[in-house]
Amino acid sequence: MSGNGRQFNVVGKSVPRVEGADKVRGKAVFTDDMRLPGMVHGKLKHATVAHGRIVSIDVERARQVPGVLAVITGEECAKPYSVNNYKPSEWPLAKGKVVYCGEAVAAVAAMDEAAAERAVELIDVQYEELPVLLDPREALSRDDARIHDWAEHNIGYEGVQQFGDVDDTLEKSPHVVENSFYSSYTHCGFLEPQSTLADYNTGTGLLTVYTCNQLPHYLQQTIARTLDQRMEKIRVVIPTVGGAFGGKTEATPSCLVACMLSRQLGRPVKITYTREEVFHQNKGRHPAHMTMKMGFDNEGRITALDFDCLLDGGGHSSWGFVVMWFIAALTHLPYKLPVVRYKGKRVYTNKPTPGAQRCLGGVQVRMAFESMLDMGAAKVGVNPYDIRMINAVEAGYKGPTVIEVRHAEFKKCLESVASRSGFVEKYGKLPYGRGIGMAGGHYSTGGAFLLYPSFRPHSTAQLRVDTEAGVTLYIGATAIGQGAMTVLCQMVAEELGVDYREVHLVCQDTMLAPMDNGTYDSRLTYGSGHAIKNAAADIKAKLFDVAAIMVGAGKDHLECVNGEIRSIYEPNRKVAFKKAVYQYLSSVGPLFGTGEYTPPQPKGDYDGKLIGPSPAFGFTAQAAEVEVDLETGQIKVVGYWEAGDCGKAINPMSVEGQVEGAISMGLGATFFEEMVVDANGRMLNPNFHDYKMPTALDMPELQTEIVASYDPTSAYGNKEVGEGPVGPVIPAILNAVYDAIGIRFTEVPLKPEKVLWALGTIEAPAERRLHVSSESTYCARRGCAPDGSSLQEP
Amino acid sequence: MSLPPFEYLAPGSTAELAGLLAAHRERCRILAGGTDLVNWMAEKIYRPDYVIDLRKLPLAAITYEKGRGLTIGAAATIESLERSPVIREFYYALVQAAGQIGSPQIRAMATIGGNCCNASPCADMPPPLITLEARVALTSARGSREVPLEEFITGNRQTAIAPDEFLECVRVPDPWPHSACRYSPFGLRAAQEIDIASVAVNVALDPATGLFAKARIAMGAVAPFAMRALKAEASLVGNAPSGETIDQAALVCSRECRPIDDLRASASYRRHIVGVLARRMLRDAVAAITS
Amino acid sequence: MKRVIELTINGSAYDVVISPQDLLIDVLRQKLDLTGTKKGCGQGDCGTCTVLIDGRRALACLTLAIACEGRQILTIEGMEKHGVLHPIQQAFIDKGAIQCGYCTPGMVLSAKALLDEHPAPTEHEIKLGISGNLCRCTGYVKIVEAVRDAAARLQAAADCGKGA
Repeated sequence: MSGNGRQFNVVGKSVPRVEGADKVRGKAVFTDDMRLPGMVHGKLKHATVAHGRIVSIDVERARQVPGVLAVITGEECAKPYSVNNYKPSEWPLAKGKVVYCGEAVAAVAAMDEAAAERAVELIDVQYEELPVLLDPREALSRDDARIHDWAEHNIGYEGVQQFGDVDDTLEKSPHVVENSFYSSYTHCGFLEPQSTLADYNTGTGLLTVYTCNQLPHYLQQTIARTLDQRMEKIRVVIPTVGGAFGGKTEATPSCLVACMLSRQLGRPVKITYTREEVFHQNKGRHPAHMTMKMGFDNEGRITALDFDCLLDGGGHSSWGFVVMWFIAALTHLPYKLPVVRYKGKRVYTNKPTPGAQRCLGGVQVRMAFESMLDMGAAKVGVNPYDIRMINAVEAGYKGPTVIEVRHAEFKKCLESVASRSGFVEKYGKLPYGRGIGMAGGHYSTGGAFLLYPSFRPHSTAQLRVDTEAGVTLYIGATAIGQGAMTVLCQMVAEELGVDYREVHLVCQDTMLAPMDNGTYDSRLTYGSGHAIKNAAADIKAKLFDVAAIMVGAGKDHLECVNGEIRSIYEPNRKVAFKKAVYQYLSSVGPLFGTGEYTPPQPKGDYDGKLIGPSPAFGFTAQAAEVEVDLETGQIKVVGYWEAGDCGKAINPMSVEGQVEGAISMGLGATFFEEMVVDANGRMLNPNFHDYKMPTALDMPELQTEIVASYDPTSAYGNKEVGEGPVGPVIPAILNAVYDAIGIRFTEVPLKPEKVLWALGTIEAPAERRLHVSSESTYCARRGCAPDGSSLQEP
Repeated sequence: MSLPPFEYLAPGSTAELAGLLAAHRERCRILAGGTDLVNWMAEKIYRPDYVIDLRKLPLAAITYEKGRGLTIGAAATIESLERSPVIREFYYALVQAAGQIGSPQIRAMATIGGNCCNASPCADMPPPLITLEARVALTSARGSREVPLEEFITGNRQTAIAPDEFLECVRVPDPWPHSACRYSPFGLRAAQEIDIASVAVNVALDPATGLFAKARIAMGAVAPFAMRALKAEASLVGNAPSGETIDQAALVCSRECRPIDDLRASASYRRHIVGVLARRMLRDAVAAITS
Repeated sequence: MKRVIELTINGSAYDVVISPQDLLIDVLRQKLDLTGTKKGCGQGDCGTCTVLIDGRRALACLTLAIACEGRQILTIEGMEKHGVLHPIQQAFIDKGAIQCGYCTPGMVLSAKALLDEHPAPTEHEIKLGISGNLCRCTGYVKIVEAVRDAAARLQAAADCGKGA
């Protein structure tokens, strides 16, 4: 099914954000904006070595600084933690040893920030330095220098997935291409540094934690487990979140330390990271060393994929397990892949830990996969657009895994970008130095399985309707800037016929809102949508009993529109919504509705099957046109086109904003962004002047389009949109650069000097191994030497 | 990060300023725009006992008088340089440099005095100023002296300023007859960039012969301080402004510079970029003179 | 040594006890509860702390509070008049230029400085005008649209004023 599906009044409209006025007035309260009576300030002491045993920590001088109230170290920490509590390795404060430079080793609480900073400077930590392992390939071979005692060969996780006979299929495939890729070490780059204000009430024993986090209910569990605090005595409240992009899915050490200090002092403690600390906390994208071997038949259909993926895990466990398997899952779409073998490893190194970053796993896979498709297209002799259309999945596709595509308009996306960009006319025909490239992508709309295994609903919504507060939605959803609050209100408004601005939203508070799985994996709008629809149905089932009598129509014939409940057959038969509510409250009693949602649980049995299946997938296709300055190596994006299938766009203006933001994150990773550590593991650019994110002047004109789509499995036809569009950016550019100059770059960021190294204009430093490959097909097509020299300007 | 404590002084006259500098010498730092100083104090690179703010002093004027050249007060902001009509008319390279520094916010705060005195290797103002034969006026209670900017900057964040001196103004002589100056930085991003390399050129043509009469080239971010490309300059003078001459000079520039490998770029790339920029800027300058 | 200074912020005078090393951003946020000004990096790189001092853009994280005596400081809290949003603010809401909202206050003030000087900016001038303000959410597309729209609103209001 496609097209527009159900008709809506509020859903599908580009209404302004409900929280927009607060944000634009500077009145939205972020965690660091908060102050509580008696509040004091915490500050962390950080490791100055990347790998070392803590020999001693002398805190005496720190304790004597006037205004200092408490100094704590790892000795006070009860338990380590990690995502899913799988191989917990990270402590609120390092215990025994440090595994990356910048790891927190001690903490101070003081009356003011200046005193806390002075005290931290006076803490003296002695380390016995251990070998520093910065490359996962080296770490694998250094079992003598284990970063964690229990991790043999420094392997955190490893696993294999195999569907079909890969070796045999590849051998029988008429065309096989192979290449290696390296995706870079990027940071989420949210502008709001993490901040926590912990407030322990010594009278009640309740610990209230205000913090910027995407998964308040999961954070509550982490705090409970790590600090031995009962769940019922923890309340997590999420003020406005200044961007997250996956980087705020975990507890920060500062959050746990603030809780510890507040519990010790019995007064509110706030810790806000500096930008440098934000970089050291990291939890951005996992760098991946990938090798792919891909077979094709004579028409360009993919026959098999052999995929090795080595992930640089940094010092701690974080989301490593999930990332490793998610990468496996994401290879299976958006193209039909019958036979595949995935070998994944995540290895510890002495670097700030990668975690989850927007389009988790997808950026790595797409970079390699879409480059391989172009290589395959050249080998088979088909256009890169055609090879994508030949292999693109459609609704109903089920590959060898448990992943099932219930709805897809991916081909529409490919058709749209191809025609709007003039891809077929331009590809291979632009002057040397100019090129066009294409890439596709997808992302899941929330996992079928929970982050923390349990059998409860993934999403829950509670509606309360009365004459005191009007319509109030209680939901565990967390807004991180993506526009969740507005679309949730639009959905309630759609169901109950009220103004979306009149809906009260109670969320981001574990005490007031029901449990929710959290804001990650683009799961929120889909899951919440179902839950809201069900809760509203509950309300309507009750309210219409009373309204039917007032209207004089059967309860099954009623609908809520524009503040009224009316007969769908005779719209003049109606009663004001508020009047019916008043009548209900007076004659029946309180009016509450609840709704829940859990995605279908696919069945199957293989390693990693819990990660990847989703009730719905969003799709995107992108094309980029670039111009390479052959003298400087600078690449200018002169055109950028995107088409996305997000199902029904609940709020098209918000969808466009998500896509544009996703592409800018992708462009940053393509051209500029990379955290760099020196030989001792010290980060050289933990700041925004050398960790370079795009400015307004760096953005090309983006031409995005939402293709007509409606997912019938979804409450409002909607699917994922916020993550998938990051994925195709890097390969679209890499493919365009190949079309421009015949060099296939297989690493990012694509700095101009790398272009000149590859062109042979200047010699690369000996220690730099550049990931590029040259393919003879380009030269044949262009009729030029590999460096394109015959066609260059004089 | 909090700043270390200090005493704040805002003298009302240059005489008072000179007196404070004489009294506090190495124990004080001068504050103008603050865009470097505040960061360096936050990083505890400097822990001055006194911070002396120039804001009450009349040091922000930009004046031009034919025959006497351009005078830029030390506290003139980068933004004011960028917008100055006389600078745009006679010293275009300075507008090009000013327009590329940091961000609009930084340009509104930072000053020419700060950009020269902080002597960052990748500072944008010194290269074009050096090609324009700029001199800095240094004043103290002992009197005043003028030093060519080229000699004033002695190393990475090092200058010839005495502890009791302040930079009062930058003086740039009248432009050479039949000349043009151009500047180009090079970085990764289109804004908020720290240069990988930069090149400023100032060339004059002999109106009779059409040959290069005078030439100055300065390169930024490829040595501990903005450095002249003396050999490249010499290769131009007396020759026709042909593509060949310019290409040759550009090549010499890339040989003369002394870049290092760092986070931002490799030395070999910097060297190459210097050549590209020198060629482009020389072509632009010649085109500007001859058009 | 602590001292009392008078700061003029959004047209109101405040007596504040400060130390000479106190930064304007901390004084605004911690002493005056004007928390609309954000601290994204504390190093002058992100623009979230942008305020206008005597009409010019300034980074509050690199400005000593004590150096602001006698100067007019405008923060995001001073943009609305009598509860009515400034046309730039309204344009940001209407055009979808706000996502997480953390860059928004600084972005709005940069837009104001731009439009005060260039009432009818080109696309490039708009991008240049906000190039000191990082935004990680929007890709800037809708922010540029909002500034263009705000320019039109301000122009219309000015024309209307002339007509009357």
